[in-house]
Amino acid sequence: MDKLDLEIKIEKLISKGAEANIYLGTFLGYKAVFKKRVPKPYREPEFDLNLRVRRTLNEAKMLYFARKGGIPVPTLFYFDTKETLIIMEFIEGKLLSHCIKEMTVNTLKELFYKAGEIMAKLHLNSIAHGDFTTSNIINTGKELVIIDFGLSKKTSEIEEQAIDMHLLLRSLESTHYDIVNYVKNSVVEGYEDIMGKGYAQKVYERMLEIRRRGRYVKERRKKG
Amino acid sequence: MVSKRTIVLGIESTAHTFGCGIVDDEGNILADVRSVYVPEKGGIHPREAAQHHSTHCSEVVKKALAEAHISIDKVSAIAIALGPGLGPCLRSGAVIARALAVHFSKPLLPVNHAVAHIEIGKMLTGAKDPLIVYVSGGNTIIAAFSGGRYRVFGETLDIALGNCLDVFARKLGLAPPYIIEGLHVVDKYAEKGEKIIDLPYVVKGEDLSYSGLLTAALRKAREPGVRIEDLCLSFRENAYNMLVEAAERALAHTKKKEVLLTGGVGASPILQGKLKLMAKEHQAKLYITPKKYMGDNGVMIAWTGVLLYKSGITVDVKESFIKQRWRLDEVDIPWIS
Repeated sequence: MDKLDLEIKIEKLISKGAEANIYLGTFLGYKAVFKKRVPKPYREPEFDLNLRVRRTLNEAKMLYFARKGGIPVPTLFYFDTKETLIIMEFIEGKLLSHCIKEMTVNTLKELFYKAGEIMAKLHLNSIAHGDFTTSNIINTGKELVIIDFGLSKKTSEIEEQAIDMHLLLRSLESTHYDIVNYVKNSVVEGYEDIMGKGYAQKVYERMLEIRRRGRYVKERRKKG
Repeated sequence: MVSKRTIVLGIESTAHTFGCGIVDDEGNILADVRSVYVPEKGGIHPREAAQHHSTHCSEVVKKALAEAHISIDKVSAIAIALGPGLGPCLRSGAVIARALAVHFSKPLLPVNHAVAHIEIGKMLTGAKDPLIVYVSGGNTIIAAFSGGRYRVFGETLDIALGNCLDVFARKLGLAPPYIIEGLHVVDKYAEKGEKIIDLPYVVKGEDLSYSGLLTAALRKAREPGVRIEDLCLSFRENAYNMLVEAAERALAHTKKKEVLLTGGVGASPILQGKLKLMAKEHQAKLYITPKKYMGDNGVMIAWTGVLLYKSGITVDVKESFIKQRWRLDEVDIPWIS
């Protein structure tokens, strides 16, 4: 076992996200990301532990399912629910949210078309991501890799699929409001080309319906 | 030459409160008069609330002018919350604001109620560029300023946090009154809670959904052997933690160094404590809007009116329609550069 210990090395903290600390290191010779879900002082301890264990297990499962479905995700190396730790492949690249500013409109359209395709592929594999935003997509230069499956669900419900669509478009509206009008259609087209126009339309309409459910939404006025 | 001091009279009537506030351009609060509609049972009945507002509006406005020791000709402009809110309530406030503007030839300033909650919080706490957590009976919004507007990063997909707490308390027969010794009844009962009961925890990205939690908790209440205190504790933990987590996600995403808590539900010391711990983890500072101005009031409308007035934004009385669903992110904010 000594040998194994030597081969797992955590080197440095690279990011402090909302629910986990992300460390860079090596795992059996591979460059690896260590995602450690840390306790939150604002939650009751029992509540906190339950949530972290549930999310760790869930993310590990979903990474496996997504990989099995041929969707570009980091390879799962190892996970430990007691430590609420996931070790996975390190993906070289930049978060999509960080590289939008330096891109031409045409490149952006291509990228968001691909994002729409990935979303559709997840849905075809009965995975709803649950946090599908530009901060959870890595652009490697060759392809887009989707990460952060902590809020994902194994489901084919159109409601959850529409939530994914809502979250991606919303991240465009809140963070990338200057490009939303150029790329919104690309997302929908990418999604349509995998799911088929009819089904994609249904998802889009359900998304509008979800938005109407909120209290103060303009769309509600247009109904009927 | 003496520069003319701007004084704005603001009227709030979006929900249960009819409020009139008078504020000058330095942020001095000259008057703050409110009359609150309290239903005998149940929640707000929009038509009855509007009736209440119409009955009390003239005395509230007169009282505010007396409190400020000014006559109406010293007032530079009239600010009115045109939305979002309950239609009949909005209409009753708009009627008096329009009448004042026309009769005394004052400009009318169109204020968005959500913007007003944010601006009063910023003015009173000194927060400059915060992540905003706005929680009330009708709103649950996580927003931040960017590119000329307050952008919504997260919000409830169905009912608001305040609404969720109130309905839960009411259906269990714990309320009204909803507030006991400065605490919401749910917080009060939760104090004696001992164990956590598993309830739905629904965070979707930075969005929240409270309706599932409410339904499940009410169903749980009918099961034998469930202590109401445990249920309140679990319900409250789920409801607040969901909000704090969504805010944390938005904070990690926007990298803001300030968090501003505003809106009526923000008065909960439990929620404040949780947000404070969360902000600290991200080296951010929590700013809490003073309790008196967390709930709906006319002062926040008047202060936002000052900002509009200085930016040259007024509305023609003929065009001053109420907007029941006027979203926060639809409003241009020219006073922040």
